Amino acid sequence: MSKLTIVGLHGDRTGVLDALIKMGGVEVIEDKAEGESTRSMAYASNLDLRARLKRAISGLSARFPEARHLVGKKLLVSEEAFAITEKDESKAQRQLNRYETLLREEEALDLSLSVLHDQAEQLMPWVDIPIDLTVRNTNKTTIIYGVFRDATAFDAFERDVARDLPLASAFILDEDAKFPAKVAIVTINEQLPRIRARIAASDFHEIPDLPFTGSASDTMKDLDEKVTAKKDELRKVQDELREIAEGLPLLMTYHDFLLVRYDKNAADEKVHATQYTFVLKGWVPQSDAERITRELTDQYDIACLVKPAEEGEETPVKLKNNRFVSAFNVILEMYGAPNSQESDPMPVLAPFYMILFGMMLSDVGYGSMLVIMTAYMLFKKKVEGNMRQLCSMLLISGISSVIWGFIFGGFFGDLVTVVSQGKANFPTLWFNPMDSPTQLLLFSMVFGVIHLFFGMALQIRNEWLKGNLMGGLGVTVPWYLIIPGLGLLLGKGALTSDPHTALLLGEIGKWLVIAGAAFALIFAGHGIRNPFKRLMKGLGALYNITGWLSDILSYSRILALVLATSVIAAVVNMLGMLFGHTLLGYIAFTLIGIFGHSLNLALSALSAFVHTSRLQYVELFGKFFEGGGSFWNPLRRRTEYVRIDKNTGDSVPNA
Amino acid sequence: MSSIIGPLLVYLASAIAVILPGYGSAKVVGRLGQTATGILAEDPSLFGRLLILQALPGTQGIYGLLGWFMIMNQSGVMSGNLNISVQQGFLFLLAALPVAVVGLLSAFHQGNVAEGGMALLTKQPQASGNAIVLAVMVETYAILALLATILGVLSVAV
Repeated sequence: MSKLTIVGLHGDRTGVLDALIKMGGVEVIEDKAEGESTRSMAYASNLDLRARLKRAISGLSARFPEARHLVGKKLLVSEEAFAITEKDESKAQRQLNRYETLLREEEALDLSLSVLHDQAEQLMPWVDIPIDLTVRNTNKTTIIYGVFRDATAFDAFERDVARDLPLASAFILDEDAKFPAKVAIVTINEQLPRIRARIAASDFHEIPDLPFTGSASDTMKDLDEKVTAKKDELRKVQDELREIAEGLPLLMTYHDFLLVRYDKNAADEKVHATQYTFVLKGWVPQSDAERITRELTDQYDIACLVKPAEEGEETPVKLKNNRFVSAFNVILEMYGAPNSQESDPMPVLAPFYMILFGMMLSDVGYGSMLVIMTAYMLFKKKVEGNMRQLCSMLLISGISSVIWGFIFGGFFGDLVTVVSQGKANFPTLWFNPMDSPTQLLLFSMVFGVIHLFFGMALQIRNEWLKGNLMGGLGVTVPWYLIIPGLGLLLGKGALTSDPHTALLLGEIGKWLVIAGAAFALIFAGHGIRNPFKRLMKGLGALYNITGWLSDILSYSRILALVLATSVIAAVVNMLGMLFGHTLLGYIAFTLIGIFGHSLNLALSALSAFVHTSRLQYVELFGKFFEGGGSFWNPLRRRTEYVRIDKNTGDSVPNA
Repeated sequence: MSSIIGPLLVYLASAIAVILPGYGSAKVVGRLGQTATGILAEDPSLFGRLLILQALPGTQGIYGLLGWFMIMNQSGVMSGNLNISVQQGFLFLLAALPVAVVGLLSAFHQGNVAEGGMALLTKQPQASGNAIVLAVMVETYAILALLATILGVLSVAV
């Protein structure tokens, strides 16, 4: 990383930032005293506008399949299209406003439609009554329409009316007089309050208060017309929404344009300004520094100064690895960046991640499914960004699972054995972990030791980078001797059956341990003059054996996860075969198998993913990783919906 | 009489290997599910990450099933062998204890970490990796217990 300083006149400030954001090669750093930052109103309105655009875009894509298709993939736009003019801007804003208005209108229409629908439903029972329901009173009388639920209530009501209120009468309107019956009650106005009181006491439901326009069927017709009119309106609104959906590319481009503007303004705030000039500082990779300064000075009257980072100065880190290794960057990004003074852990992390993940999943069937799924995501759906990294990482790990599946002889567990009723077995290249778990336990730990030894190699490199090679060797070499020595001492019986060789191996192991311990006592305290203190330091270093023990034992999880995957697969196969070897049985087997194995794949792949990550983070990184750095995050055009085609238009715009 | 006690102990051993971790996982995964639905109401885009955190304490239940399978398989009960001595039965029962007890307890503790991780996600959605790793630290002990059970079961001669 080199530090780039640009000094220029105010007039060029925006232009330079535009050029930088387009090149995407410089991380702008804060060059201001604290508290100077002023977040303007523009920030808030930019945020607000983007949120609205996002809502509109997701709303439209949920509504129209074409739009969903458009949003699903990043839209390729040319430089010209991305350079949004004021005219485009106001057009996009108009579209957005129109969309929001239409949405509100649609909501209102939906509401009134449901009200009309309710009214029609309430009116339905009255449709066969041919009376004009708008006529409710004359000068002297009032008519009340309603429904009596049952005969007893009606009879009681009629009796009471005949006795107490002779100037009122109730008529059943239905021809067949079946209850619940529709009834018209006619009364002179003077008695209306008493009638009302009597009605309230009986099981009577008055006709709903609807905007009647004649008889019930007339009103119904009227309601229908209203519904049709509203539906027409709704259709128009929806047509217009569809039109807006066709203008979706503009909205998407505008959203990303605002995003870029937001980032640019944020970078602009970091620029130090005087009355006439500005000073911009940033980190730029050494290899790009010359190209970037040349491109900038060609266009603007500015002064550029590039100087390498000072000794011991913390800079952002940019990992430089080949495509295979960088597929695993996502694992490191989840943990955090190394600092700029230490070595890149990726060359060790990547191959071991692949191997350990493969071991944990170790099944030809599951591995192939993983490969197929990730390949589909990568090559057919063409996912981008973090998802792309994750998929390529899982693709590589899936291939590794297939290989380990052959080694351990797993194809959807013991599918071949179960289906062939024990006549055939899936070939096993090495050994079957289900038959000899102790062997796998041993090998898991051996793999762990190799993994950790690579970690220690990185520690030596780190110390060497710091100019402390001897100190690095002092704390690592003892373990390179002690761990294999202990391994030989404890495992001599497992390695050979010949007692003489075993004795010899034990002897070698013993001396390796002694040599390692002696090395630690002498060199672990490298740089300490006081011999007593130095010895104490050496003893302290040897005490670390407990740490080694727990680190190595931690790799036993490989065995546990291998068994978990194959045992669950075996259980699925067993369940599937419950119905026997008949046609029906095979159909059941297929169904149970698809469900069970998919579930197991998801669980086992997740387990393999998190536990491999853990082995990297805790065991491997524990050996050397210091961390505390930050990833280089250049000012660039961060887009969400569109991808800018760099081949169109000028590579650097004119300010 | 004694001929029935051996197989009974084997069934008891395999049953507690499934029941205790299964209970722990079910309870914790359920609680995390409730937490997750609350968070989803605010931010549906977190679904995938929350799902992973919710699933983590579910592995203890699977380890329990694994223990069940190992015991049933090693004792030969699965293939119809009921000729198991009382001594063997007790050995299976003791071998089942690590995964049963540690599985149950670690599920609860892992659940607490995962719940904290969910709260972390609401503030820092990009920190999901860290939240997962922190929760996985607890699971180590369930794995070690499972290993102890498996090796213990395999060492019982039938």
